Amino acid sequence: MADFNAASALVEGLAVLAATNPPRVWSALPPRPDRVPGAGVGAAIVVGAALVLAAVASALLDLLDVSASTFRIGAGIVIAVVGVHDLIAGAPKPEPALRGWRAGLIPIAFPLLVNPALGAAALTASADHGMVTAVGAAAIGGAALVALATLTEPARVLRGAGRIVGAALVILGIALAVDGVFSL
Amino acid sequence: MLARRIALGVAAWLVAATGVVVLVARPEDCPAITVTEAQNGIDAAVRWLEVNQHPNGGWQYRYNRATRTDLGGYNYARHSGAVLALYQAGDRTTADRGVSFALDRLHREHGWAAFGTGNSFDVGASALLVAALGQRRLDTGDPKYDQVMADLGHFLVSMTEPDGKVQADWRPSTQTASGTLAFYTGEAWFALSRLERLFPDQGWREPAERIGRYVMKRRDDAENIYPPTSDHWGSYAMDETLHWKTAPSAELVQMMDGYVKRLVGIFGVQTRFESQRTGKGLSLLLRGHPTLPAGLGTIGEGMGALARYEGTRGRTDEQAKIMTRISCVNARLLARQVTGTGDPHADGAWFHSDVTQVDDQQHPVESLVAYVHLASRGSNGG
Repeated sequence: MADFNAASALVEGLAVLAATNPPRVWSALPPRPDRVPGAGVGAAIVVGAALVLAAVASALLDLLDVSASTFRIGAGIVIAVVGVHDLIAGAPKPEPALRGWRAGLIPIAFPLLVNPALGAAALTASADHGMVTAVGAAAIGGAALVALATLTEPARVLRGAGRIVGAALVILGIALAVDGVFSL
Repeated sequence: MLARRIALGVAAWLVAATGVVVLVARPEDCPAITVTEAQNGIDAAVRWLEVNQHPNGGWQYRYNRATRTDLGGYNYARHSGAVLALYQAGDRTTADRGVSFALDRLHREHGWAAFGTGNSFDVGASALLVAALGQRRLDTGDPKYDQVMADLGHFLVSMTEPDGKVQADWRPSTQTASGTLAFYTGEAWFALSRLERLFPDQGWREPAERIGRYVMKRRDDAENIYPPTSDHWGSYAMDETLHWKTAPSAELVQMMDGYVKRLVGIFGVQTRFESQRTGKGLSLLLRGHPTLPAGLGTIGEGMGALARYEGTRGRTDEQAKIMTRISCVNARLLARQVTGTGDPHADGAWFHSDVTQVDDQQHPVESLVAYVHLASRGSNGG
């Protein structure tokens, strides 16, 4: 049951964006000259994944006999748990990875960008508001990663930013779960 | 090492997906129903209320179908509630007999009247009697019980504090009022709002608004109620308020809009949680047994009042969303209604652990009536 309003679209879009956590993923980018191409591959894949998740969201929830508001509770919990992980775990390392630009596939796209929080956020955003919110937010996250890939410094600042995005994920996840509880 | 990284990523997805599907987002069983099916359910329950009414107008209050035992007991608030349900369902003959029972038990003092007997008179019985008689007045225009409604209304006003808090019980022996009960407060709000709708400018508006503001702004905190009250009576009251001859102020309507939104959320999560209950297997472990029929009915009738409110406010999209949940509640009620056993104390009734109580018919009937009115009229449902 779509329950569109601007505030909830913003929260769910931010959740998708934060789930990509570009400053955190930045730490796992391969060295130059594969850095920007790898980020580009990861960005393309996360947008593609968001597109697929958005396309199947309503059908998947129908298949599971689950309302959008109930799913939002589960999605919020997953997002918050991933947020806690991003907040307290160390930054991901570039290795092990596929060689060269293929590092954009593993580990950049999977498991770092296309993680359970992204799946949960994209599904709930699409079920509630249609595809644009989820795909648009994933595209912004991917673009941010490509932009950050041009930088090699300051690592400490970006790692700190990754933790802050993790904290934001926790808040967004809790907000989504509470909204899911007190929704129709 | 790369394989381990991939495996950990896959494991994270599996744990998240399994956790969500198994623990949180359980399947919601909400079969579709038709107006005809809902009406058949009402008719069967009304028959139960006819068959199980004593000659004095009271009802067999509690019954165990397994042992075929009348469990006795009585509750006047639920008696009035059953009368209200019957008037809503259009069975005036049976309801009028219930009114006679109540009128034989009116206690009068200080110029007011309260429904009850013994040493304590609760607000709920009188408030719901006003609501029921008001339903009769709305449907028939018959002024026969106008004075009784006014006398009962004065009792409710006398039990209302300056801040809007409603005392639950009056003890004539000590001339004291005491206690609070969330549902009684909502019932008094509903009753006085209905009196203002029926008899504008006769002094009912101010106490109705006073209780309403207290309920919406302070009640749960002031009375240490948690989780927030699932306020089906308050829902009725807000629906009534929109039908006042002199429209409520914009500020009050804004306050009601906020409370409606809050109640929609409360009823919504209750409906979804209940719809995940199958009463067996993992559902039983995680969600427990299906709720009491009376409780489920209150959710449906509360949402019915909110849907009418939204319809009157012109928000048909919100009304349509609420209707899907009302349909779900009533589908689950119909699935649990007992029919065809040949036991006149069981057929048409709803049971929980083989026991039914008169309010297990009252609230489901009120829920089904709300659905039928809304589904067949399409807007503010009457």
